[in-house]
Amino acid sequence: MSLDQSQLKKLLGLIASTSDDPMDCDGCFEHIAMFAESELIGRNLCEIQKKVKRHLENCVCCQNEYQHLLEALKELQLDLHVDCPEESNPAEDQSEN
Amino acid sequence: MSGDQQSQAQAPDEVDEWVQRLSDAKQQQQALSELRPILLRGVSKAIGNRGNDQAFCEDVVQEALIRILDRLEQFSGRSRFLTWAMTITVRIAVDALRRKHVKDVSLQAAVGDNPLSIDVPDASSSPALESQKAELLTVLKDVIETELTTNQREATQALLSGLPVEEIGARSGRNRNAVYKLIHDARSKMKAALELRGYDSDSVLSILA
Repeated sequence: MSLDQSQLKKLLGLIASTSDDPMDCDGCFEHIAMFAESELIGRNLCEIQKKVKRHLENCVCCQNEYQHLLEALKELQLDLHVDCPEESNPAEDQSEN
Repeated sequence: MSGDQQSQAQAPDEVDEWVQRLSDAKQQQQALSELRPILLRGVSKAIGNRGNDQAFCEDVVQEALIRILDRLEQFSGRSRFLTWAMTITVRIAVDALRRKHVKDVSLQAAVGDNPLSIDVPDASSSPALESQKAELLTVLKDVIETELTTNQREATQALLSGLPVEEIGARSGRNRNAVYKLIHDARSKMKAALELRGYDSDSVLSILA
């Protein structure tokens, strides 16, 4: 059976959103808590967090889980802090914002 | 959020003590009893509006607490403990929802006999847009048939049919990472082929809009 119109659109959407992704789903999960906190407080992303972001742009399943996680964290209203062990060059981050 | 709930979730000085308390046999039960309602509140908010009852959320949290204890040594401190615990809880909840949603769908049913098959419309007498669409689909059909492996076609078709990556893995004897890579490699090949013919991401999306 051929792809229907909806599946075709979905496929083209997936193709259009594809980019190099240096991370896999396990790697994303390992760092997603730190990434979520950075996103929630608007902190610049360190290198590993940029990889998480790239993976989320590519992986619909991890993106779906992340959206649920954000819902949960917003509900908890945690006093967030993030200590990224692989902090990228602040000057580099500044230039991107 | 009530004042009690808020102070329970925020208490900054307490945050770094979670691991220590959960690791200590004397304090563990008390720590769990404090952690349980926090996770329940978060997961109920995240998935509660999708027709999931409180019992489902409580089951999820129960399983999450076991997994959190099991993985306590893996907590690196790079995030708040509660954020980390919530990621585990949400993963369990979403996995359970996915399983429930597709429990009766077999891989064969999702993939069919000819995965990722595309019908190219006859555009000989069509307006320019239809002609462009037919050309794009012809390129896509060609790359699918000549450059994608059977495994890549099947995994991508299964995803398009609504099976999450985790469930495709469970049905095909692969782990989630392997399925994701299969599909991502297939997407990269298709994207490269389309770009070679002058179709960038915007034009790909606009043609079928």
